[in-house]
Amino acid sequence: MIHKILKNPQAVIGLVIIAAVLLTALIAPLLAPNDPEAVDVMLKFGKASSDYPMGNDALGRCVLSRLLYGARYSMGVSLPILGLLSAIGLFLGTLSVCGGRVMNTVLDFICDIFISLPQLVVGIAIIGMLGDGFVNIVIAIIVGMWAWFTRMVRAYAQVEMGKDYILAARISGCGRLKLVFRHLIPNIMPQFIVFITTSIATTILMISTFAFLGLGLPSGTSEWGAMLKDASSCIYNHPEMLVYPGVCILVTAAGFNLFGEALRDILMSGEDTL
Amino acid sequence: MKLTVQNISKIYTSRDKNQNKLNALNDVSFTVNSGEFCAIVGESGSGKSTLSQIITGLIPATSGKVFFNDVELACSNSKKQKELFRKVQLVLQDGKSALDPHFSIYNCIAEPIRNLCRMSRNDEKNRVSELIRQMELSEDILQRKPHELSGGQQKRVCIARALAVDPEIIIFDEAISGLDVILRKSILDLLKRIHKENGCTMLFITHDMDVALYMASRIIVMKDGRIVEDTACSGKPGCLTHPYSKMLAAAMLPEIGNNADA
Repeated sequence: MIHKILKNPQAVIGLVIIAAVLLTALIAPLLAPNDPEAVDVMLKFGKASSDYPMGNDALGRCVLSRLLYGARYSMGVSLPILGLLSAIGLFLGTLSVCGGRVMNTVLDFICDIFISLPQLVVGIAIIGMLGDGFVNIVIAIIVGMWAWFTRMVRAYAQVEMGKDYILAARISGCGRLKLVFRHLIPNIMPQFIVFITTSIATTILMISTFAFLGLGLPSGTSEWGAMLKDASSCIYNHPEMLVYPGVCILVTAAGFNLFGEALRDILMSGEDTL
Repeated sequence: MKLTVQNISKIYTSRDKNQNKLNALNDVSFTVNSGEFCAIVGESGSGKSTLSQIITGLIPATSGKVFFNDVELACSNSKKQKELFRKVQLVLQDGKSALDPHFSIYNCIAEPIRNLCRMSRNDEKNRVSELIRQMELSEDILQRKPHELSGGQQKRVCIARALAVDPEIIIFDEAISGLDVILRKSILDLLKRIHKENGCTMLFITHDMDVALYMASRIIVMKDGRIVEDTACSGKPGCLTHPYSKMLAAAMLPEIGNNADA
């Protein structure tokens, strides 16, 4: 599998981008030349210099430092969200398939309701009710996206449940729990990982969208979406302020999408048989 | 172990608005005596596989009962179901899809032992090695994954897994379909040998009349969910009397088919 990934150029490009963003997020304090929150109005829209390699923003803060710290928000918020969404999806999705017809119908109905609501509207409503904060962003995105993850796991699980190895496992004396943990989940994981990888991009974009709308994160946070929002007021005079965080979001989302799509191609190519 | 199937019927109802009903099995009754090698023959859609799944308790019958040594084994809970699987094992049609792609061959064979028998790890290892030898396979394959084996090896692994818990009845559901003629013959001879050595009751479900004639001491012919003939088998098509059975026999390979009217 690793060999196949390394042989796929699209997967390698995706992996390099993901690794670069993750590394940046991890060692942002070492890479950043300045404090990302330090305001100096004297340096308002200052040009690039040795001290401020990408110049300063409207409040004189170091743009490069803010971009580097922005990776922390994108990764630090999206990865825990994806972890929680995956756990919820796996639990409810497999429960829906293995828990009998009533459970399946009820969960399907609830999923339909949540899927019919636009994620952004749900998020805005929840953050509006709960207020700003990291935990509230996590709750808002999970409420908006859990039904998609559950529906996806359910679809994968339904396909797998119809396969002969599940029947053979039942004949081998596997109870429901063993069936789910030893057979079902390991077999749906490859496809589910592809879905998770492509969903990271969606989550990063959603966090940035919330920040752009001024929701969730405190004002002035060095998050890419929030930086876009700040830069939007000076779009005509300093369009580069808009381009920097925009490119960061675009490249990060593209990295995860490229890797996810390549992973899907690799898995779809099937296994070799004798 | 004696298997008695008594007035089994199975009706499938479609889940759409029309709720169409399909009679997969219609009042099917027969008895297979202990140690007997019985073949159930019929075209696709005649209800053979449904019958095998009802006997193994995987799906419930609409009506009727299944007895093992005259004792009804209703799978009302997981304990009773495990008790049933300890006695009755099913070998599925497609060897490749019947093996979990993430399991090693060792785990595929050891799984029923772990779930249904109380055995130490050492005994389990010995049992798996014994089964691998019995199936004329090399122990090298134990650490491989199912997709790394050939079709014949996959089929032998499936048979080894069914034999792992030393069941009293083994049901082979189209267990040799999809294999080339040489492989088919070797698997059939292997099954004959296992039957001779283990003495367990075998129920061989197939659509090939020639295979049934070669293997079984008794043939049950099914059509549209009903039994049309239940006869002792002499190995020659002449033992068949019902026109439908004769028609199936006439559709066999030429050298045997030519004798269908004998």
